[in-house]
Amino acid sequence: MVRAGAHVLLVDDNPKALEFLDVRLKALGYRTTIANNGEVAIAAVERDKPDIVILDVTMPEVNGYQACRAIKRISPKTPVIILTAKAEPADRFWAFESGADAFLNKPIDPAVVVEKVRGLLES
Amino acid sequence: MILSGTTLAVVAVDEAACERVAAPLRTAGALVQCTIEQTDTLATLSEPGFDAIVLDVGEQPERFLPVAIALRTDPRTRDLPVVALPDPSLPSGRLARLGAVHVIAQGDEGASVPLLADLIESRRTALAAIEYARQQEERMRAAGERLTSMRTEAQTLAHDARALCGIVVGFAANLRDEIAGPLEPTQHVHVALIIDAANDTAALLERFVTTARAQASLPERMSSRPPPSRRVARRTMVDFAEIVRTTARLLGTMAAEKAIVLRVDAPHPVLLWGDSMQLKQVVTNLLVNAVKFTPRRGGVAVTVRSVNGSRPAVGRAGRSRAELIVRDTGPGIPTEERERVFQRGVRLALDVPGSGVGLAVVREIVSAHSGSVRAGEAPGGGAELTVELPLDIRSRREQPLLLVEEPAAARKVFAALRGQRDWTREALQAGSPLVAALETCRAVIVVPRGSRASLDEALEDAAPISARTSAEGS
Repeated sequence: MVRAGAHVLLVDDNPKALEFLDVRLKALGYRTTIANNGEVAIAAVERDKPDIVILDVTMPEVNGYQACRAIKRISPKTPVIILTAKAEPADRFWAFESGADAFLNKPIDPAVVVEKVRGLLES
Repeated sequence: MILSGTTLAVVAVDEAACERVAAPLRTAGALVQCTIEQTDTLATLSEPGFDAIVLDVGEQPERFLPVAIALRTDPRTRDLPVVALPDPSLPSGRLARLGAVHVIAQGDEGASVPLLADLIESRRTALAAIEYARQQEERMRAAGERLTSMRTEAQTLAHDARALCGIVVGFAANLRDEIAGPLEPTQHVHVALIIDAANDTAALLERFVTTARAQASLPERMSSRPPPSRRVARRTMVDFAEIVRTTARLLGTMAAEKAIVLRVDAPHPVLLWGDSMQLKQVVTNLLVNAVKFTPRRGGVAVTVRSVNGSRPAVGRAGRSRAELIVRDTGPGIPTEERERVFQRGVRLALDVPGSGVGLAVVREIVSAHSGSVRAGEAPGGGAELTVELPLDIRSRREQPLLLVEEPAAARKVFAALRGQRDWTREALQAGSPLVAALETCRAVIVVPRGSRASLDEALEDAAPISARTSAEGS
């Protein structure tokens, strides 16, 4: 079972891109933090120790793959979901090569994302 | 004046020799510059503008050796034709060291005129060809850069648009799941349509980028594929009836604006092995046309159903088909125009907005699915468009499975499927139970007698294709 108020860190340089997920997760009882770039996300992982991270890829300065590697160095057991509009096979490869636990393509039904979050937190 | 417009350099040991060589060249129209062989000769010859160089070597070819070598090695002069005029008594071996020059005996200076004319013309032709090739290469390089830039832009656009589709799908799904409050049943339908359309948009973009990428990586000859509408892009098991219902719902507003009654008769699933987005395009084009040409308060009737073939081929998918009929109460299509309307750019009513490609795209997509489309007259005089698409054996979901446990019967089934083996003829006569079973079943499963495990596996394999596809995609 997912413990009550599990903390999800949402990372995207476009805040609207994750707002619908933020709303849904909060409605389901999760705690959320939004970071708008890779550097802020890495700092948030160090500081807040979220239970799971949902990461966009295309971000300025530190992209999602770089952020994922850094997060996995800081907290290897924190699951990371890459959620991106990049749909080439190479993107999937780089996601897992960076240590991601799941790779999801936009557009995606947020119910599927929540299921993935739940599954990773339970495993 | 065979040498008109040419500039030549004559190199000789003294002024008199130079003038002797230059005279016939000037007579032939050439502008000649005389140069006495000395230390600054090379500097003079490497000035731009000469079309050819004449060396009056006489009896002393060795004296001209440095000049000849320098002319051959200097990038500014190495492609210039060089003609040597030796003393006729000079052994040819003494000229060899001058390299690849053209030789005319001294005293025969007149012969140098046609030779020089030929050499200059050849050089000019070669230079023009090189320049042309260089320009072509430059054009190709520029075109390649433009293409690369457009491809990158297309990929960026597709990425950004997919991200935006993600926002649409995300918020619409929140509405659907009533995270932002309860919805009316109609609102649920609308939200489902929004999600569907946004997902289709993202899929279209992805398909566009994938096609562009594939085209770019193929040689030109191989990449000259027909436009996307002329081939089936991605086949999955689709319910054509559901596509018709969904599309009709989407166009409901358009019909309502003209108070047109849009009636859809698609009560049963009609399963096809086809491209759902292309089939949606077919239905959309037909319905948009029907609504466009139907006057206010008219009616559009859409029927979709499976039609059984009269005599399916034994053991094959049969000739059963999906039939979509769109009838309207508009002005109809004149008999002589019923074939022409499927041509690109043909518009029958110029006062009605349109581009004249809608029905052409319908025919291309339907043909790509091995189907047909025809125009006719609806009862009452309106237009009647009929699309027929072949059903796939895998679409017979509502039909029974044929389980074959007897080894002998299994052999007969396989033989029937392949149409081989004489001994199967008797078993496959019309009216035989096996033939009837083959024609009506959706799958044939052959299992060893009494093997429960194999039967379970076989049944799992025969699970609906669409269900398996979605499972693989998740």
